Amino acid sequence: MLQTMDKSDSCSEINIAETGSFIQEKESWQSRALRDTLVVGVAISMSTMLGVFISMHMDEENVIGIYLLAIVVISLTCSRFSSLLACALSVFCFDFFIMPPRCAFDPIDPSLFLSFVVMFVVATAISHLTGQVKGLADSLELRVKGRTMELQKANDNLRREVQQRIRAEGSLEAAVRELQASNAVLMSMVRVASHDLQEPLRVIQGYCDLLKRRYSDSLDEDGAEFLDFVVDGTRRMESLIQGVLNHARVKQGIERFQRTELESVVTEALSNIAVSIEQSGATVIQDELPIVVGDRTQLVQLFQNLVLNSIRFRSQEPLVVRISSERTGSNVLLYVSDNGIGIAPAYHEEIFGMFRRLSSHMVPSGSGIGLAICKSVVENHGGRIWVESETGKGSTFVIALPMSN
Amino acid sequence: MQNREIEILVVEDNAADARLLKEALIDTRLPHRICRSVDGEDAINYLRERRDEGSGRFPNVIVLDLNMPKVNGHQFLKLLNTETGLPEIPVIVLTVSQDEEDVIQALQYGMNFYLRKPPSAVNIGPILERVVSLWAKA
Repeated sequence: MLQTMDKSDSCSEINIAETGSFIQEKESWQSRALRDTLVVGVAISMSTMLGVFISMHMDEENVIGIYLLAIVVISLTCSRFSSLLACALSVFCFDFFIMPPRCAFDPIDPSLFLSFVVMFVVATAISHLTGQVKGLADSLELRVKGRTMELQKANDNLRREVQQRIRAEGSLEAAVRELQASNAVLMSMVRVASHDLQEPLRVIQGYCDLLKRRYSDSLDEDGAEFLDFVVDGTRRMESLIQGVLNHARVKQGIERFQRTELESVVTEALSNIAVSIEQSGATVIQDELPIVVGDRTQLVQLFQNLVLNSIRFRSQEPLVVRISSERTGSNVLLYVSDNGIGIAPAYHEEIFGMFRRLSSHMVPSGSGIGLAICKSVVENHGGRIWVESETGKGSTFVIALPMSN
Repeated sequence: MQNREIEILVVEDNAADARLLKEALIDTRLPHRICRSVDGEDAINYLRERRDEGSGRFPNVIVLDLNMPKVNGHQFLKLLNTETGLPEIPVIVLTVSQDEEDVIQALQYGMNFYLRKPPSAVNIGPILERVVSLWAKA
């Protein structure tokens, strides 16, 4: 809408400008004819008067110079036709007013006739040359004018575009600010909600424990199994809520960026999930890792989630997870690779979404937030995360982070 | 040291939580007596009554929930600090919160022990025993 309006505006502007120059040209053509005639009349009469005065004291031939001067002036200021008219008039006036007998034509004198011819030729030549120079100058001026106008137009367009861009940038910034604000509100709501969800869950957990401890003797096999299902359900719910809370914490971006040794980060992450690693019988190999600028808590979470992901999607053979790194230009690439069940390429994007878990009866269910948190953490650090994997061939999660200076 | 009965003031608005705590305390097999307040205001009023009675009998330990209506756990801790004529009573904060800030703030206001919900004999037992042993020395 905005654009169309601007376009029509510029169109009408151009029209006005063109019509204006057209009118101006028409007027100048008429007035120029009048002015030229006037100039020719005045110049030749003045030359004649001056000629008459000079011829009284000097030779008549000297007057020719006066006329030539007048013709130069006329050629410079008037049209080609006016110059020719001036040439003819000069010859006529010179013969009629200057040459004796005055006020009469005397074309018989052959030397004078030659002078007339020479004078006419010289006058015509001067007028022609001057006309050419003037034409050149005029065309040059016209071209300069044209170019100036084009430039002006381009300049105007540019100015309009710049203004539009500034406006667009402003509204974009406002939109981003709004989005950030609403995101922050949403995330704090998520935190509060998750926190409040934990309270009743703890009550359920507490009473389940109590029931198991005190009444397991009076429950039959089914009853005990049902109670186990309840306990398992609450445990899953707990990890889900914890996941949402962690995600909200990461998303809210309460970050403390500093130089962080990734080796100690990975060591901390592995010790946090030592029980899971031991239970799954996994071997985790940690290669030499660099120092990056980042938030330690978030980075610990990142490696913790990736290794847990490998454990969750392990295959029949003993799980080996390798954490390694590589420098490429200004980036550092971190690899977390395993020999697990692998991920089909169709799911390579999907797995980083919230609550996206590959449905498979073979794998235990997780919270479905782990990789979403990984993605948020990496993005908070200005990096990128992706997976390289095929079904049955293990997975390699790659994290590209900007290198610390 | 277990011959003396411990008097425990439970400040908890939720009945289910309070009952769970009661059961956990029974499981600890420590001789005790429970007195319950439903929020911080109720609890501080109870302590003031005891003070005004002049009998010199106060609860030996307070188990405090943080998230409560009217006067919450943090506010109760502040009131307890500024109230005159009360003896030093150890406070065990019992909460679902994992927020470091919640815990640090409670510590600044005079919390002595911190316990995450749900309470069970396994986690509250050792704390109570510690409280009793400190109390026996005093």
